[in-house]
Amino acid sequence: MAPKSKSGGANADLKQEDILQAVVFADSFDTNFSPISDDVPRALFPLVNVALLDYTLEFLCSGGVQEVFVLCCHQAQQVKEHLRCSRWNEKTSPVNVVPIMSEGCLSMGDALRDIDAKNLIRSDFILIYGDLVSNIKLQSLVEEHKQRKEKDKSAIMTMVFRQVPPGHASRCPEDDIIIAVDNQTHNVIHYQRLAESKSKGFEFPVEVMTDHRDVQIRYDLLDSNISICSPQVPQLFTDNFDYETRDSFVRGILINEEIMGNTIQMHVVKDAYAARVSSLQMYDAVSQDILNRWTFPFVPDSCYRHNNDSISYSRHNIYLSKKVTLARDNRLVENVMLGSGSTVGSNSVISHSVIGKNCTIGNNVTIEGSYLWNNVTVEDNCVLNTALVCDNVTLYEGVTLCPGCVLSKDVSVGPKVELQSGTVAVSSLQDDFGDETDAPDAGTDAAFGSQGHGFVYKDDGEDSDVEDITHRMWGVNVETESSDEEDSVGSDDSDSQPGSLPPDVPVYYTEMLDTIQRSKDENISCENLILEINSLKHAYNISIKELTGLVVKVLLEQPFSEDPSLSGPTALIAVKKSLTRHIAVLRNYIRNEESQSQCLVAIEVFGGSSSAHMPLVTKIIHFLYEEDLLLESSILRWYKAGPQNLPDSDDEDFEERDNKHAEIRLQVAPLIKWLEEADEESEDDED
Amino acid sequence: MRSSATAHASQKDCAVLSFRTVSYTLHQRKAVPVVLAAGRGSRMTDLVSQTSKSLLPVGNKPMLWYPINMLQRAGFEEAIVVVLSSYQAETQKLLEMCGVAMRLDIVSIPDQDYMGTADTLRHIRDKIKRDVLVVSCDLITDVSLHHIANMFRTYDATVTMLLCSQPETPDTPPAPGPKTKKRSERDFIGFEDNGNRVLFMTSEADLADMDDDKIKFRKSLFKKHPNVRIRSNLTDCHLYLIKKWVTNFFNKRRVDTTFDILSYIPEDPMTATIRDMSTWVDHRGDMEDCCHGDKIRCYAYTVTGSLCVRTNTIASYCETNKQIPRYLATLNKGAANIDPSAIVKGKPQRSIIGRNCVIGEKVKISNSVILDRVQIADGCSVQGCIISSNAGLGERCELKDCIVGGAQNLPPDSKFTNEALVAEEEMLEI
Repeated sequence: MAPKSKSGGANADLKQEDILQAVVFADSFDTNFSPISDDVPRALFPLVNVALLDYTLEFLCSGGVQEVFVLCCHQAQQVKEHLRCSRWNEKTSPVNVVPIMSEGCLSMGDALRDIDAKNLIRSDFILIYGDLVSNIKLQSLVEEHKQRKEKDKSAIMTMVFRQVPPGHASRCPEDDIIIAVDNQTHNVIHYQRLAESKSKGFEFPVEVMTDHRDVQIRYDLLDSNISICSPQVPQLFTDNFDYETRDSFVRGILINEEIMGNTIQMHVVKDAYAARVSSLQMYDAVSQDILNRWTFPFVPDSCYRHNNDSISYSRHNIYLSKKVTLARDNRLVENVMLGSGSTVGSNSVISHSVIGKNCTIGNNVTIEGSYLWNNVTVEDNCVLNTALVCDNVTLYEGVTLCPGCVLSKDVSVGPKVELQSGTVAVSSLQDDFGDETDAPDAGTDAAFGSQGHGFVYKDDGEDSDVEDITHRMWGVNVETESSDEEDSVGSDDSDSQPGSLPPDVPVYYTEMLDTIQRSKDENISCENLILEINSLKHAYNISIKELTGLVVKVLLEQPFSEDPSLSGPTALIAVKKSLTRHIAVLRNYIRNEESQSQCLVAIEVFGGSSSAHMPLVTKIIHFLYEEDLLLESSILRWYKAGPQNLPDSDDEDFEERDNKHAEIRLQVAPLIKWLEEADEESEDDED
Repeated sequence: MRSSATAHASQKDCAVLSFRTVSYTLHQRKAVPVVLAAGRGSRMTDLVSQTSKSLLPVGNKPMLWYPINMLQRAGFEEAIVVVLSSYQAETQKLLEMCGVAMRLDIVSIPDQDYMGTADTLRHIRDKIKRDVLVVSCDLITDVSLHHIANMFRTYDATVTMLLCSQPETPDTPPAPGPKTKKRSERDFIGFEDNGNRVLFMTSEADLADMDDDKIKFRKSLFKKHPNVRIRSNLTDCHLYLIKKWVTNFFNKRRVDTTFDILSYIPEDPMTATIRDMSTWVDHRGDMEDCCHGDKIRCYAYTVTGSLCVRTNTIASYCETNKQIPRYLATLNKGAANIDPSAIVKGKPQRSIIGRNCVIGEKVKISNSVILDRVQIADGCSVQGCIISSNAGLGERCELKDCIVGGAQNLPPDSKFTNEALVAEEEMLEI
């Protein structure tokens, strides 16, 4: 009897071996989408009117996965309920989807330890997040993984990446990774998430190069977070309780590669789609990719099973549900999806947007690059640009949403209100204990209009720094990114010549102009102003020689920057006023002959820069002479000096320069004459 | 006819970025070949005490003959050879003996100055009128130069270099002489993926000096080239094809900023126009110009499978000597393992025996290199050795893996293993 049962058991084992399993986290364990994700778990966000989790499950299903464990943590009941009502619970479902309630889990590590404790994994399995949209062919990947494992028992995980060059729309700064791979073994040697590293450049341990003869360093990969894992992986998580995320797991494996002998392989997909909806920016990018059909076959018109209505697909990527009501003269430009039961009024323009179910759009509405979830009402004359509008939101007449607004559930705005770029609104504030505050004076924010209802969302103090919020604001991201770019270019320059930063004169100049303007507005004393100028000097690497000239130039031009129309006597008065106010500053910088000549050159440049300035030159020099800032001898020397290349004008042609030189000399001639006469007189006196 | 050929060449020149592989021989384009033969042989000091490295015989021909022969095969008609002044006459004599058909301009540099490649090019700057092909005298290869020339032109490269992939077996046969700790001289070369463009190059020694065991890269490198391949299994063969303007740049001794170097690049308006019009780009993913507008670009041609060695160490010198008969055979040159002028009574195996050697009876010689005018008395056994010129071995000497210095006489019945038998004063020098 015994042998029989044994063989039976072995058969059962074999049968089980054939089942391909997957573990899906219906939680991302981060707060990138708060406050929206406070009520709705990310996995249930509608993405082009289908819940995110359904894309993930469809993907697994098409990849031949037969058993899926969905780990529900945050808002677990909602996920469970969703699964119960979905097609995955029908008898015809090709996949056995098992929700696993593990509400106590705070990280991916916890969740995997939970899996290990429940002993659910029998063979190689696929580990993904419930916010993945992909059409990668899984079978071949799993096959490859198995083959590799046959050859080399130590290969415990295959990470799947999609090749996406830097600068692509679907790369978000958080997901910037750099990976080093051994070209011969295809083992991952080094894995680094750039958002975590503080340094400006890239750093690798020397061993990456010295221990491997042929290494590939890749910065063109997008981490799809699909991993094909051996059954040991959950055990490893259990053994190493400090593994919190997949990153820490990968790092741990790589560091202990020699001790434990485990390796991680990678697979790069070039011609298929894979992206995680990990932030607002990615939500936007992935939605557009779906509308553009990059994710085929997971496109709106074929995902009807989840919508329970059929969707027609027409030119310019317009997707319309059957039960849509459109006024005659509205325009759907391109990449538009309208959910069932929605109505669009006349003369409205919609492009690059997704409108959910049962939405009502009024007349003369413009919607661009925005995502409206279900039951949203937009009244006449509203303008929505790059906004995310959640369920049951009402926008009254004439509301304008500037790029990057996020309105969460039940908020209402208007009428005739403009929300600033990057506004995040919630319908109720929660205090530290998660209870709704019901203090009467904490009524709705005035910014939301007379009939509006909502609060500006503020993240709970500690763990949010400014940086965090800017990443979350999508739509304004373009701007921050470009400034990043500049920063890094700047740092490159400094890398190339350490110690000798190129002086940044124009920037310094404008900075100083601002400083002096401010000192005037706020009545800052001259001593403090000197301090500020000096500190700016260090910040911009300006030499003391250049500084004198710049200070004079700034002081002379400041009145003109305030009022460009100044001319004649009023200009003179303004300039004199500026000089008198800052006389102490000038005294500080104009001390010796050299600084005096710097000052005179600056005045000359000032005079030459505009015809309005020219007549002032003599008066300015006279004024400074009277103030004992400029000595006679310096003025005379400057007057006699030939035309020289002025610091600001080396590109000018010589003729013009000479003309200006002569003109200024002509202007100053009476003063010089007077000076010379005075000189003679005083000499006479001495005699 | 000739002028039309050059006109044709300059037209092609403009069309470099149309990325057609244009294969016409190098001499049409008239690059100046420069053979650097003034090396000190710092990695093989025991052998070069009496002679210049470039004149050490390999397969009974001076080492220098091989690169010159390579140039000749590529169709060059003249070449500049840079030697140390004290060996100028000898070099000339030896090369004449080997029968070189090219016009050689032998330039000498003072013995006492140490000159690197750039210094040397600066030294002979007046002779450089065109692009330069720099070859080291210790390069022995059967790689056809037109591959490098084609790459140079197709990519409009500033510098094109020759790299050879090292065999995967790290255990080289034991080298003669005392066992020394093998110095690691690997180069780390970063390539653009699927391309031949070299992005950076650093040596193992430099890496060892890193402060905190981290290598730093600029972000812009990976932004431009998101897929970089770093290889350390390649050897730099010291063969470079360099644009003319680079030598102009060398000539200016003081190099201040990167801006400085850019000002030396002549921009041919025609090339620029063609580049603008061409739809070809070398990368994907952004709207940048071809090559990201980089004006200085280095490319490398990587050889696999061909004979390509640098005889700059004792080990490689031995190894090359063993392989050289096969190589010479491919060139249709008589493989002369044993020089006709040598009097050899025994049967040496896998060995090279130089001019006017006298080798006695019952002498066993295997895997060895015996230079000129060596006297080996009866009954000796020589295995895996290098015996320099004018040396003499007494009767019944047994040497295994040794180096015998120039004009050293070993008494009869000496037995040595893994030793460098050189004159005392030379020992001190080391």
